[in-house]
Amino acid sequence: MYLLLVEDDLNLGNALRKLLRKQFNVDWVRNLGSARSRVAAAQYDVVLLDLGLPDGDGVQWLDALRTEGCQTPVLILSARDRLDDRVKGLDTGADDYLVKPFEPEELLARIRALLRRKAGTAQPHFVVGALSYAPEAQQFYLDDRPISLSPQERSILAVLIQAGEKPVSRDRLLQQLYGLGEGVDSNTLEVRIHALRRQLGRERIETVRGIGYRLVAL
Amino acid sequence: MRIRLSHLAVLLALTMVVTAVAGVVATYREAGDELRDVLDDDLDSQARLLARLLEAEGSRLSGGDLTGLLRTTFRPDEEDTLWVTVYDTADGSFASNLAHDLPLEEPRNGQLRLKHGGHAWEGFQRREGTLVVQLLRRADRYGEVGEEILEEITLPVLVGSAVNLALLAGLIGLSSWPITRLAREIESRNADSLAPVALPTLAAEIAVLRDTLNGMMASVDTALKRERQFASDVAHELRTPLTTLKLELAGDELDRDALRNEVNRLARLVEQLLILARLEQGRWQSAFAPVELHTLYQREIERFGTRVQRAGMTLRSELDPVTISGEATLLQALLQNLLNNVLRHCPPGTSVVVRLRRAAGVAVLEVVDTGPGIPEGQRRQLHQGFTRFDSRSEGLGIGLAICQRIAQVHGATLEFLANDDAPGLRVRVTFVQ
Repeated sequence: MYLLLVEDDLNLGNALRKLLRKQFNVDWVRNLGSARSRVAAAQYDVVLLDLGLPDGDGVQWLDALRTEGCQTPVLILSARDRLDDRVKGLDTGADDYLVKPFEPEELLARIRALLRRKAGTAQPHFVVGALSYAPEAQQFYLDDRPISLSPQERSILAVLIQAGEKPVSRDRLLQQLYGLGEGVDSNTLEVRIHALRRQLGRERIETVRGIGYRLVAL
Repeated sequence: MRIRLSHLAVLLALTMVVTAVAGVVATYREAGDELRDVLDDDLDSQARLLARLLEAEGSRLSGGDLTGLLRTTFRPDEEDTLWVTVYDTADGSFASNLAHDLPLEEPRNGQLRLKHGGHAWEGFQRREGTLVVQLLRRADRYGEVGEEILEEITLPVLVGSAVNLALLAGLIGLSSWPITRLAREIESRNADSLAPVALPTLAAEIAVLRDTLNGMMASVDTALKRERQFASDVAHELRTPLTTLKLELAGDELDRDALRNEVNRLARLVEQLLILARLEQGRWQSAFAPVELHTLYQREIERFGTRVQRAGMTLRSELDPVTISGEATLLQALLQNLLNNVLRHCPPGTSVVVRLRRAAGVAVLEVVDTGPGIPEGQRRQLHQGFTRFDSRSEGLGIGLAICQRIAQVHGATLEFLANDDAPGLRVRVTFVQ
């Protein structure tokens, strides 16, 4: 899953990136200008937004984002704990609001909840056929037996299973692996898909011509 | 004991009505009695006069002539109706203005009551020689006069009372009602809603009260907003490093440098808050002593030397000898905070000048940098005490709040100005000597 972290505080940003990097691909920007260009360029699954930023207020940017029709879930991380701040943030279009200081587990659980909602399910586990995924443990199961995957294989499969049986574009999967604008070797994606197919069975991951890949319920 | 104005007003209205009614009744009775006396006296003297005149001249008048004379003289009309009869006891003849054949009952002098033509009559009988004159007035005429008097005096009293009551109601409407409404409006105010009270009123006194209250609420509101902003700034400054600490501690391997950084940051913040808390307690003026600002600041600038160099900036000073009455540690913290702000917010290459000058009756400290500066609007907010304008601050808001308080304690003003013709910020502290 691909996350955008908008946080201007250097130390906090570093700590957050360290926490999130274990499970997600994270882009971290420190001002609204960079956030704007990132959101325009990439398909993020969740945006984590601090409010008081050097070049403006996060809520105003969120408002503009929603006006443009952007549907990406936004989780506000803010030290502003007053009721009207929280209500204003949520009413402007934030999907969740977490007041600093928060426990890392809670942040992760809330991100998982946002991802579930984005995938259109209330079930904590994602299931496609015999394949299932427990996001809190980052564990995949095939016929209820845990399977071991490399971190990169895991992040690709997580994106695929959260899309259900809908196809996911190659671009999205590449962003998942590399983020934006880094040295992308598109061969790697094929290599990872190949490895996954070897473990899960060829037919479980279908190539959709001109688009990318999708999971098949078997 | 509490008195309600409206109750007092009702009481006043009641006494006004009672007084008016009592006045009308008393006037009516008194005027009626007096009028009756006057009319009776008049009637009596007329009877006496007539008797005397006729007695003196009567021999010349025949019975028929006398009747004619009486009829023309005492003609009944709407205003008054008199009945006169002249008896001659010598021959038993009599003449009257009204046709009747009532005989004389007894020839005495005095009051007389008779009935004739379906009416009661009252009047007097006077005897002169052989003549007896009866002069009577129809009793109901007295009543009519009384009614007329009543009408005449009641109307102005009624009108007057109505005007008085209306004025009283107006007075109550202009005073008691708006005060009640004002109280209700104020009751609905609290720390979260100090909107001005809207109370349209014609009464100048109430308007003054309302405007004074609104003015007071506005200043309380500003102060509360400032306090809230400051509390929220402090919360932000404290929560951000705390979040970082929580995250770092939850990680697998501890990053000691990051932890130390955040703890130091919190320690600095707490230090600043403590200075501020001590400043709020006041009573600094009693510890004031002459302070040689140029010496104090020269030392401080030398101390900042390494940090400035490391940040890739240059720091210059132009210090005139200035001595003011103040507290040395506070005055030192003032310059420290101002220089810390520059170090935190300006890029490498920025040059900073600390200037201390003496002008007419004032000492001026200026810290001028060539950094990015602050837009006009935000500078204004700083003046209003809405301290924070950026979240990279690491205690910036608190640092400036402290500067402002230190200036205040020393009777100085703190201004944030644009740099003359270059980008950058000019912070000016003006001490009145």
